[in-house]
Amino acid sequence: MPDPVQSSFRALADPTRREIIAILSKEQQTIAQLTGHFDMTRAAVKKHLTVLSDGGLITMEQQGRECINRLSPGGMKPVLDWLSYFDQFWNTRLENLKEAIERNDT
Amino acid sequence: MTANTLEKSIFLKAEPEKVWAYLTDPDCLAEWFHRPDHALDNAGQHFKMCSDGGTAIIGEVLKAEAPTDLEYRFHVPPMGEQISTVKWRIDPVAGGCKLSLLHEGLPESATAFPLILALDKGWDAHFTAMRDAFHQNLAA
Repeated sequence: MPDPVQSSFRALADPTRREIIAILSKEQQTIAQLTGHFDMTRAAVKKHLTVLSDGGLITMEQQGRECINRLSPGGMKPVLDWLSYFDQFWNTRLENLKEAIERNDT
Repeated sequence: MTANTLEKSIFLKAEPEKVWAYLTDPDCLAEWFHRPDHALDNAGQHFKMCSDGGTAIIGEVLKAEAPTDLEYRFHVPPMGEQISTVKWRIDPVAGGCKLSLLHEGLPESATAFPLILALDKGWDAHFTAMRDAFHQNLAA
């Protein structure tokens, strides 16, 4: 069983998948509609969607012959948290500061 | 303290004046943060910094009382017009000083979306750090 957080990050580590997320953040799309945005095959797009779905970032729902893809806001939460982002940001920066300031300590 | 505020502090083996220089002087800032186009030691000073990924940080010094208090507000264009404020406080302690940081006015999660998507260049480091943090939390 893969770590769910790891899966979310893996899903977002690819620029095409981030673009898919950006498109789905505006509206739900079928695989055919999404394929229209990219210079790649339907099968390749579907593969990206599966990774996003495994990462809990989107839901893929079969409706008749169509598969509707939607953003899953809950799944995005861990990676969209400003506090987590800046928390890490300042931790790194403050470590750099400490190192810089104490480097030439006489 | 609200959910949109971060507080941190560290102890540094340095005089307050030296710490002050590291918070305000462009050459010193370049060593650990980003080089601003102006020194940050005057209230009202507007400044701009460029990150390694090319993202600009645009800000204004609100308060500069050497060598103890520095406040500035800034925004990062991908964050939209959301402005957040950073307050630094330097307190002398035995053998050095305590540096405290208060970062206020962080946007709600949903508005972070455009920035997260714009962070392409810094993404790998960003998510590696976050992943480590999550793992530490999960292990705790």
